[in-house]
Amino acid sequence: MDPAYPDALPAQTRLHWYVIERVLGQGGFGITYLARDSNLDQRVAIKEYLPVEFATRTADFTIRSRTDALRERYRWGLERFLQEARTLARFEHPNIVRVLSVFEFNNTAYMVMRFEEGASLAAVLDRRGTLPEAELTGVVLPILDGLELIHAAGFIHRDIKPDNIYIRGNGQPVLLDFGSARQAAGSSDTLTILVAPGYAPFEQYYSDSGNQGPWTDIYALAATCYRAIAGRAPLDAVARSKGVLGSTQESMTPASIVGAGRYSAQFLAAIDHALAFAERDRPQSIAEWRRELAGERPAPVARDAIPARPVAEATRVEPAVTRLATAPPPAIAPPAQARAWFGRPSTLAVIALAGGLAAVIAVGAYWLAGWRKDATAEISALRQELLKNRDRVTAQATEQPARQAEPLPAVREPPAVDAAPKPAAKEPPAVESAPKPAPKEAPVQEARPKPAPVAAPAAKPSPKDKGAAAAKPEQRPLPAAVPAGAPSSAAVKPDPAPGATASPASPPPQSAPKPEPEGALVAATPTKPVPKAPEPDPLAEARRDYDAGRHEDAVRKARPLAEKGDPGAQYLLGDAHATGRGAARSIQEAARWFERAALQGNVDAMNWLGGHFAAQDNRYMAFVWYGCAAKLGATQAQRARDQLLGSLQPYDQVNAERAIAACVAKGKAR
Amino acid sequence: MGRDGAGCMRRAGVALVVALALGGCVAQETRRDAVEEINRAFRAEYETVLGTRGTRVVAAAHPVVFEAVRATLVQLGMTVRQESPGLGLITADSPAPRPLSPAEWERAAAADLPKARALLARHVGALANLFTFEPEGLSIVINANVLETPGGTEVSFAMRMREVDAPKSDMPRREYPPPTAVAIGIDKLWETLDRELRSRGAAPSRR
Repeated sequence: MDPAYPDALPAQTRLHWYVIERVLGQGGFGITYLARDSNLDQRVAIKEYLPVEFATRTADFTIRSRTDALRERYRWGLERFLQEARTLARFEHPNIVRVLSVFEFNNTAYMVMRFEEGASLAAVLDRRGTLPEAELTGVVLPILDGLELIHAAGFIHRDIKPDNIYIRGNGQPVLLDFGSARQAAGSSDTLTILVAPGYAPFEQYYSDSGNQGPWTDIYALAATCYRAIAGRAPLDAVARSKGVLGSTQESMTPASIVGAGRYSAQFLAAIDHALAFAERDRPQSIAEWRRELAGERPAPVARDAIPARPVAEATRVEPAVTRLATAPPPAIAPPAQARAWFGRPSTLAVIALAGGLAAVIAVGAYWLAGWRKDATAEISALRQELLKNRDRVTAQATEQPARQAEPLPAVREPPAVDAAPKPAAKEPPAVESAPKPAPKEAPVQEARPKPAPVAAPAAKPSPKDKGAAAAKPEQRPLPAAVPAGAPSSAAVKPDPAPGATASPASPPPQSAPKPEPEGALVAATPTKPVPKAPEPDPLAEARRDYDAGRHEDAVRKARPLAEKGDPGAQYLLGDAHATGRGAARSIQEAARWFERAALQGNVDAMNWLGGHFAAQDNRYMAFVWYGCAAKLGATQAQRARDQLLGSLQPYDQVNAERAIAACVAKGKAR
Repeated sequence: MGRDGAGCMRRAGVALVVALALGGCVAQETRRDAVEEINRAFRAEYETVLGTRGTRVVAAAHPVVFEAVRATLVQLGMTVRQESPGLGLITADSPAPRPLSPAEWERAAAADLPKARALLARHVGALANLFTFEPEGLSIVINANVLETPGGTEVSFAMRMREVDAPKSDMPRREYPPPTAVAIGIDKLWETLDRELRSRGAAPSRR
């Protein structure tokens, strides 16, 4: 028996003709094994239903509910597990894990799946920090196709997150671990294992599923994209709810700020739309969201990010709370007073003296009785509060009547599936977790058109890349504002808007076309003609090496140039450290090099820094760096700066403008 | 301060909210308006304080001043979260009341509470007397600029409050710290910076 998995079946255990080899992973609702199909002589992944909260393994390996009282619950979950397996087995899609069989044994059930070798997207992101747009869409779009199929059958995944997306050796993504079990398990005291913080939308924090639908998976997939853009998961939905309600100043920095300059505007807008706090504010179907991602349909501006005024923000959640009102109450709904501000005895005495009310005293007594906010109670209270806000807003007969009248989307989860228990939140994937060849080569086209804060910015100058970049507005593979001596880079410039942000890595000067006139570059270096690249050009060589994957050679060549002050080389080094390609991965070191490049007027470096600080919720510094880039004409940076403006206090704005002026002056001076 | 002590302060801190909530005798909108009025008043004074005392110039090289500012923040108990040394930006934070001591915070409260209560009284009457300032659940964030200018290295500080724990009420919290606290904090920053500059052989800051 593997000591790390005391509940697991030992190796060589036979389940019919499947022989267990080892544990791949364990979650709250089951264990996944690597096994061998002795009939077909092939490896498979087998998921065993074992909800540890209410069942346990006995000495003869059978599974039993922990108490008689839990037996019903266990059996019900087991039925859902079987049902889910049967449903999934109907689907044959390259991006959905293939279910081969299901059977009952040991008083539990086993789902046999194709064994996928690869690496989880989580592992890829841990290693690389972020992914450029081309790579990210190479993962997301195929998953969307598979998910659409699932939704059309009335099924919802409920647990999309980087851990549950695997990248096969050929680069193809596959979605694992459907999560209906968490619905069956349902008990709110297990909430933390029922949802993935950061990836689960607020509606998943209730035990009922009336508000869940395709938009639930869309949120989670957008959150996964956000993780790949920002280098971290979005703010947890519960924390967001507090920000929306105005009880905290907390809000999620939108992708359009975190990723500005590195990803296309329409892509970021689509992510933000899908991450809308209220489910009705999100795209309601995969098809709708796909059109937004592709830029075929503009996404509305995200509404609950960076609220300028918390109270006003409460109004914005109205569509969501309208839905909440029609849903059954949460499993554990504390009395409305439970989230009271009524504190302790002496406070209550003051209240009494002030003309106090019995109700207040009662609540104070409730507090004294030891009420503790656990996660569920807090969520329920938040929900109550959302409802209260809804009532207030409704009473004021304000906005959005039309929106409330919208019919619900057609695709809804049928009740049976709703309740289905499933291998859960931390369920192990049906794949080998061993490291694998870099997953992304295939879906990603060679092009890395965007400088990424933590990802691969070095754009490829090849025609193929240019094509890829051309498809995405504001993506250009070349560093635009590199005043001092940097060889001119091929300006793939799909966005003719003046001052669009430029990209870091540039193509070899010999083959690269001259950069087209650009606001940013012109503004940054109006009086400095770009010097003719010397022959041989060591920076161009370094870039060629970098683009060709000879990262260490590239870094070795670029480092002395960077030390001497070449901004192009500094950018390359920043990227190398940000992505860990050719240099030790270090965001701090990356920031140091990017800052040096930025202070010489490199707009891409400024954008990187803007995104870097936005990802850390430092809106002041993000504002400054985006502001610098905006001053030099970068249009996306201008939008990001404008979005941040409302979240800065006036005096911070004054200081930030001073810093921006100093930054621009430095860039021009050099 | 122990948990009980903190509880006492919390009780005092939420007293206003409790009072305002009495039997719903004060509407949500009224509570919000009351706090917003404090915000407006505090903001005006906050900007005046920072506008007159928030920026100084140092006749020393940028890297020297940057290091001195950084050391100043650390010495006052702040944690440097992010920095851009080349340009000259530092963001540091710390649980309130730092960089003020508890005694300084009390002094600020003694100066600003009457004003705040007078403002509140317009909305909630005598219940305003239950209002007090509380440092719990708040952190103080300082953004420092250290910028090269023709006249020397310009240093600016801005202090603001950030909520780290949700209040027990559904009321919006104040967005601006008490103006006297800002003034005390700014003065303390300059005093410490000047000491740091002197220890580096540089002249003190000047307005």
